[in-house]
Amino acid sequence: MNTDLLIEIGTEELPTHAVEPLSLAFAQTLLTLLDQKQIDHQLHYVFATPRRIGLLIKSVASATPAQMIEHRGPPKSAAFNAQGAPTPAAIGFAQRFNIEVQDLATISTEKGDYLIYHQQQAPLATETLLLGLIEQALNGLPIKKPMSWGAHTFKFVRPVHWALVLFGDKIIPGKLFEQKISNQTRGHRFLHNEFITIDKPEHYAKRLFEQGYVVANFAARKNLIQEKMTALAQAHQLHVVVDEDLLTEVTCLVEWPVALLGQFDPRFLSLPPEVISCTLKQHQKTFVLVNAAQQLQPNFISIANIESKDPQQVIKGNEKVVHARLSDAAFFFAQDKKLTLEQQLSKLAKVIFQQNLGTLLDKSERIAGLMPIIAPLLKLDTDTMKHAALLCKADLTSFMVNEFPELQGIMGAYYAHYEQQDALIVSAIREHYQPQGANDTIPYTLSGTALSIADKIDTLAGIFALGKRPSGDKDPFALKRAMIGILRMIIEQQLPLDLKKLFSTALTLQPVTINHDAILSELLTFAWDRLEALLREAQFPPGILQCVTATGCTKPYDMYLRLTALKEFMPKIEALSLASAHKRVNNLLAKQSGDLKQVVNPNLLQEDQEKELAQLIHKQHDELLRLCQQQNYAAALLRLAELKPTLDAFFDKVLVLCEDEALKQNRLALLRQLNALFLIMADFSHLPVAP
Amino acid sequence: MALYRMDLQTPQTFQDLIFALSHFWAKQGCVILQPYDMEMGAGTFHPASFLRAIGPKPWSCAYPQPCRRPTDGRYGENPNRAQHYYQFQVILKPSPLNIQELYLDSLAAIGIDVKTQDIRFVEDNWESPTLGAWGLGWEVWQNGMEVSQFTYFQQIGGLPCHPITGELTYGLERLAMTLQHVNSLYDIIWAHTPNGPVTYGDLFLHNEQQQSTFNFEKADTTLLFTQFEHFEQTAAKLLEEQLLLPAYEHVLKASHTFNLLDSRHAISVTERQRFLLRVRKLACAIATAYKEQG
Repeated sequence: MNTDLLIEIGTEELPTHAVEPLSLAFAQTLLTLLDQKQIDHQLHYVFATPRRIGLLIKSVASATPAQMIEHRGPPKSAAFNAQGAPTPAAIGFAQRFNIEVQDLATISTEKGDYLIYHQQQAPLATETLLLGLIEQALNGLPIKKPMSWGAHTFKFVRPVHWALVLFGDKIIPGKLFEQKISNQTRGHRFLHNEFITIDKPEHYAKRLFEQGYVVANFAARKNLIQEKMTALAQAHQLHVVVDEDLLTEVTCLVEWPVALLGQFDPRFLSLPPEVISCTLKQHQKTFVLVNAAQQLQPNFISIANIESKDPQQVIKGNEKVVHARLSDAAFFFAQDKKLTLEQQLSKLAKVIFQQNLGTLLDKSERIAGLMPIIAPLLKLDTDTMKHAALLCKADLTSFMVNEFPELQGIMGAYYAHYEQQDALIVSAIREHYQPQGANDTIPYTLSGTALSIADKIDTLAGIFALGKRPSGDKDPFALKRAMIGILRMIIEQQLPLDLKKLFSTALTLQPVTINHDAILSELLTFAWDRLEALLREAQFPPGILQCVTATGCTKPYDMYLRLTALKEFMPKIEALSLASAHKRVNNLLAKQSGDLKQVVNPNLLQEDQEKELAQLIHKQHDELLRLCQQQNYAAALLRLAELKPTLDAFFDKVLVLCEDEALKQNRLALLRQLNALFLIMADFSHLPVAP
Repeated sequence: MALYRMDLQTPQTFQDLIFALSHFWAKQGCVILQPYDMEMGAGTFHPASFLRAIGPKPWSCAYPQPCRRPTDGRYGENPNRAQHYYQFQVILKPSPLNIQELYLDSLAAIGIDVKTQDIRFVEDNWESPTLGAWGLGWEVWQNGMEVSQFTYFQQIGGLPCHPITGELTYGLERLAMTLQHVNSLYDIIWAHTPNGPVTYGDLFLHNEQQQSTFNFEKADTTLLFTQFEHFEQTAAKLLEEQLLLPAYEHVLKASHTFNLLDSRHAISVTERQRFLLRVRKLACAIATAYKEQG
């Protein structure tokens, strides 16, 4: 017979980051444990509020199924002596189950015959197992900072006040965290601070909603908040800006959401909108509102956890705090504007970027030092970009960024605009921290791109120079993200930048003594690993990157173009021919040593096939160079594909390692020329094609 | 279950607020102490909190504590921030299971109706690098304003706590501003006297102006650096001689000296960490010795 199961752990207010994840993890673990015990069950519902972790599982089997357990005893050869009488080993095995040896069965296996016993395992009642399973699930929760309370020795996310476990109409007896298990939940801390008895598991959410002033379901509460905000905003011809993270956070803070509309002094609208949003969101966890033209309005919505006897008091209270916060922000903004960004630089000279890598001012100067090799290639004015580089970190010492670190760059751009810096500088400062993550957009402007690349190149070069490259999962400086950002910007913006040159220059600018070439090669390896990952995401065949790294090309966009052409080319029959030819060439050349002949003597070319190959290489060489310089790699590959019949014939008919030493050396020289020809485009020996 | 009854008349003045909280917590069995007579950044530094949270002995107390945070000085020009202000501190060891209910009852006792006000427990974990201490808990919001800090100490002076001490810290000025419906802390009525009302400003505005000037402009950094060294060495020497209470007082002096240097921007970012660690090292050593003394 199957019955519903309800579990609820009542706690003191949970950290917002724990509310939903802990309830989900609890459900997941408990369901897995039930499955392991083969206890059948149907759908489940997860409940999560600031004060409760809850789970309802429909139609849980009342017992585990009956099971047959097979116990294996000694091998038959060791179970009976020569006379066929049971040995002590066999008797001992039988005694474990209180039976006679003759009642045991035999099983034949590859290793011989064994005595076995089939033990009938009676079904276990679910209700006797539940407490243990619940405890196991609770102990396994991923709690970031477990705490102790009172004089107890156990730990949990927050102190536990009640435990409800109801299986059908039965309370599972026992204690959880020293709290006696019951069928009673509690209502809202202020609106219904009383016990509520749950008679049937399925009534839980309904009772809490109707009597307890608690919306127990997380998604339902989240939707409710959004609906209430939308309705309230509409009633005032406004639109609420729903920040998804904030909505989730607020859902974790309330059991009975009530939306209240507050207002602030319109004079604060002269602050940058990002500052107002940040202040309201971070400090007050309130939502901002816009009009139909998407302009920020002097209003906010806060979600209270109470149907107040006097909502005006709650609104007035919130308005007062918002006013104080915005006054602070306005004060910071005014203070910051008293100093120009250039004047702020002296403060940067006191902030250490990284031990042994100097101050933030030193870093800014290094970024500026990279501009001569970046700006011209992006058709930007070098001096303007050097100035942008010098100013880009100045806002880090501002009051505003000190208060809201995530406004770094954005505030700098406002201050730069305020002091009428070049528009290129403003956009460069604003965008130079982008992209922040895998899904973040890259800078929109070229000046932002240039500054972002230079900043990240310097960080990577500096940290690698200190020997602190990421290892395994540890990447405290987020260098992987930085490198992926650089590659994405270069490829997506189609920039002709050369990573080797950038890193090499950046390394010479670092204030530490290093083995330049070794670290440069580490950096490039690190770059190619990240590029490989990007290519995999873009459905490139694994391993294809080697075809271009082997050519010595270190310009990511150029590499990308070559790879795209190669990817298109791969399914063609000529691809296989080039790949196997290049492999054979490499194998033959790898075995040679000593004084290597580079020049082919036409007079020593005997066979038609080698003459033809030599002519073709000669004919194609300049053409291929021209096509590759134009980055017309599809055409270059078509040209190389024309080699197929000649190559096939050459390897079919010509013995390279022949007896005649002069002929042999001449043929090897021919192959070296062929290798050089291939490498103008790619190393085909790495092309992941199978014969 | 608590009733959150309003069993006292709403305190009309700042001093009434202190009386009401003292009275409430005295009824809960707390020893009502007086402020410690030294500069400190928070009520937690009072030996009745820091040292008494160490070891197994039960302990409950409450006291108002003036706090000094030189960097928070605003020359008396900011309505919410000052370099000298008051906390009301409650220590309950072991933390009773109904500690939140008690706290909410205390709000009722000072005239805050929890069925009208939007009271929230918002996660805020406390950490004091100088004291080698941390705890988990909340800041308590009243209509979006933080009015209290609520912490379950997990570690003090580098030592894990057992049993756990619960700490409640009321921001007295903030509570008084809401209760008295004033927008500046200097407008808070401290007391009504036959000669008329005495405000917070009457008592402390000059102090804020002068102390801010001292903290930000006049404090002699060379002397402060020397003093810091001296306090540190004295604390270490006293610790060796097992004079733990005077040793701890010298840690408090070193800590305040560090705060003054900080407000003079005399300590760079990297040095800052080193200074904090020096104070922490002493605080932890004293905590360990205190635990051993029992």
